[in-house]
Amino acid sequence: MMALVKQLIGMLTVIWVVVTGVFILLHLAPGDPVGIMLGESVGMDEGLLRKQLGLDLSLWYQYQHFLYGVVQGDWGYSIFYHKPVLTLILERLPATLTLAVLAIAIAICIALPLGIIAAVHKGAWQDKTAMLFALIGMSIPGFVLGPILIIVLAVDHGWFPVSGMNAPYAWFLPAITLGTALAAILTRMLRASLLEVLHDDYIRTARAKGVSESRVLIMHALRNAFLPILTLLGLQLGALLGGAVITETVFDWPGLGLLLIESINRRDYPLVLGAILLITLFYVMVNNLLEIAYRWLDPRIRNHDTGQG
Amino acid sequence: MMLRSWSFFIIGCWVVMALIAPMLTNIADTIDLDKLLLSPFNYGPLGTDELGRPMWARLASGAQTSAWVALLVVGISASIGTLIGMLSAYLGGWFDRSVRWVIDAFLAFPHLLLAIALAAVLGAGIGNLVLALTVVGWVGYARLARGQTLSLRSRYHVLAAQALGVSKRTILWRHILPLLFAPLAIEATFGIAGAVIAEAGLSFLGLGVQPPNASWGSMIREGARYILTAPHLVLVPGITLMLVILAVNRFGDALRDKLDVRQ
Repeated sequence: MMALVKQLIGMLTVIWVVVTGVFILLHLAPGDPVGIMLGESVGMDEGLLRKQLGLDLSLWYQYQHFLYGVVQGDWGYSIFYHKPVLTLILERLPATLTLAVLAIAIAICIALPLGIIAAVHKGAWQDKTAMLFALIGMSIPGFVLGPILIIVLAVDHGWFPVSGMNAPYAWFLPAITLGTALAAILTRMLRASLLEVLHDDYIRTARAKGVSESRVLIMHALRNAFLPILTLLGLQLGALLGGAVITETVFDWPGLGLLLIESINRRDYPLVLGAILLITLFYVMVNNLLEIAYRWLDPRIRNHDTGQG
Repeated sequence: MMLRSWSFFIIGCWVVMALIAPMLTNIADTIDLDKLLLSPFNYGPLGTDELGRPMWARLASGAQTSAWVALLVVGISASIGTLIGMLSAYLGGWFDRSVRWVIDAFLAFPHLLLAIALAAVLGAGIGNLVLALTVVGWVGYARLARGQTLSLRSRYHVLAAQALGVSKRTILWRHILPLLFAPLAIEATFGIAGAVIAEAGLSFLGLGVQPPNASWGSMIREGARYILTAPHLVLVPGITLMLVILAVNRFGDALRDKLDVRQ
């Protein structure tokens, strides 16, 4: 229980740091928002607008106001769309989440068999092939893999659409592009953590009792090898969300990442920082929830916490 | 072994391309509207781009960009990160607590996203790109150096030096830093691969190197518009980039096996 409270306090601190960081970035951003807004509509009163936006007040007051606004769901106004930032980014969130979930699913579908085969046949050609795949997968960035997939599968063969998300199977190429790097890292990690547990006593016991090899692997080894993978998956989410920005740009996928890049090009800083804030908050929360889940799944950690504080 | 010599060869080619690039700027930047989008089969070794510039010279110019950015980013962030990490672990107290806090705060942001945010706020350009990647990059080295120094601090040779009254500076510089070298070298190798990807990625998003300077990332960005008619505009820089990252990663793996450092 103590550990849970500590975890929640830690999470809130990190969220506060993230919000503060975004506030600082917002004020470091070049160009006065009033100047940018007035650039489009001539004849407005600069002083009045400044007053409306609260920019005539002290920085400390603005900061308090910003913190209060973030908590209340008032994330500012987009300069380009003239709409609330939160509404705009929440509209785009489902597309990004769909892409991320599909990418994780594809990564697991690839990594699970490859990692197991590599660990079981350690040193043999199966292992070497799987590790070569992992090395290539880690080394090919999304903005290279994406266009190659488009050229081969969309342009030459016409099996998939080149961009967008409306056509059937349009999700396939973006999800592969985003999921490949994760698949590669998961394969390596799964192999390593399986190799570690396969030498443990309880595996030898299970084998000595005559449990079939596949059952030993799946029910005994894999269950324990999964825990480190869960943490890794949470940490990799950051790379995945960053990768989503690139993948969405490659495929014109109308998610948060594409909105982010469009807003950067339009110098719409409130929207840029709103998108970054939402993605980061999402990342922080998922990681903390995973850590709580991890505690709950592994009795060794749970008992350690309650037993020795 | 074959794989390793293969990766040496690629890294060597990358360095040579980066070194000869300054002599090629005339060729790489000359626009020739009679030779637009020629495929590698029709013109030169690698064809021409959308402004009729030869791809091989653009590729060398991109190699120069990526090599410089990688060298600067890794050099600066490894030096700063190592110094901060070592001092933090060795001095302890409030300094260590605040460093640990800052490291945790940085790790709370997804890296690429933080770099994108910084590049967006600072504005495009190679200097700001290096700055953004360094601000994000030093944390990894600081964490590594701090962890290693914490375990080295109680080694006998350090305790002996302390007992003999050797100054803190000498202990850090002569007794601890040399032992940090192996893990830092491995981290830096993967850091080079990471910096090359990040530079190309940010340039792909339009946040990095600005025209007429070439980057493999911006070449892919420009080339993507002609993907139906001239796929070599994307394939040439894309495959080059992939081979360089593959070689550097492979080199890092080999280095780790050789130096036998557990992560």
